[in-house]
Amino acid sequence: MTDDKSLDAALSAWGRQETGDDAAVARILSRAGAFADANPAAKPAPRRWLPLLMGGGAIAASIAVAIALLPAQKAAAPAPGAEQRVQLASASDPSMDSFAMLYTVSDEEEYYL
Amino acid sequence: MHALSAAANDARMEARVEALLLARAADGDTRAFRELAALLARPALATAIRVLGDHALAEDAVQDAFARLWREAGRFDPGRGSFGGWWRRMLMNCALDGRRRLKPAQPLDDAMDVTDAAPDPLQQAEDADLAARVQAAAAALPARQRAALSLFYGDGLSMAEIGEVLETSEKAVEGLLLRGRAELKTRLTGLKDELK
Repeated sequence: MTDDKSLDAALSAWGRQETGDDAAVARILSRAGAFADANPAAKPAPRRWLPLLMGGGAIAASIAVAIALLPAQKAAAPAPGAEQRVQLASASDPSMDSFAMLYTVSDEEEYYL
Repeated sequence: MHALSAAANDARMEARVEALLLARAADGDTRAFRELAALLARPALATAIRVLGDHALAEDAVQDAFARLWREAGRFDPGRGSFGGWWRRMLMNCALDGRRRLKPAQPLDDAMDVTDAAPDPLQQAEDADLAARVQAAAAALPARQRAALSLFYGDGLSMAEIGEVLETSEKAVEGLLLRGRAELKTRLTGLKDELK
């Protein structure tokens, strides 16, 4: 029976053997090239960065829309003191009394009142 | 140490060149594909011959592997493994394709008649004889054992790398190698005496 050392030597020799002649290699390369020429790539390779770019663009667009909506939301709602400022001209509404005490009218504003 | 680092640098450079050529081939560049094939053909043929034990079948298997490489170049994902492992896996799948029927094992006596036209030193002649005997004995092994032995002793891959190629665990590769070696040991009767 062959021992391990002998077997290793034999397997190493087997692994080192230069098998395959030049003619076979030449045939393989010739046919591989012909195959590539006859079968052009159907579509370009998928760009791996494209989904990331699209995803990033979608996120950026969402943020831009959110920012654009914020001032409009603020503008849509009237300023808390706007109505009261007009109503300050009239002291007949008792619910405005507390606000009237908090809000100090400037000289210019008092002029218009 | 210097020789080892130089070899490692060469291997890394080769891997970079292959990756670049593959990327261009994936875009339909036939010239890049031909250059890549030229780098891969000879080692692939040697591996296929060791696995299949037949030159014609091996050439056929390498041919099929290159056709697949051209069609699937765009599917390679470097995040999932090396190009070398991916290519070898493709080659092994073609070589181990059930449609390839191996010829009966070459008798050991005939294996001794393997000649080389070029004059070789004595050691080379003895190595060639040993290799032929191993090839004849290996032909009786299951295909995956033969593939594991070829990748280990021929391509110099680690068990982890072989696992990547054969799509199995490192433990399974170890088993393939152990069983393959055990079977070869019994088949190569008298080899110890001949090596003395």
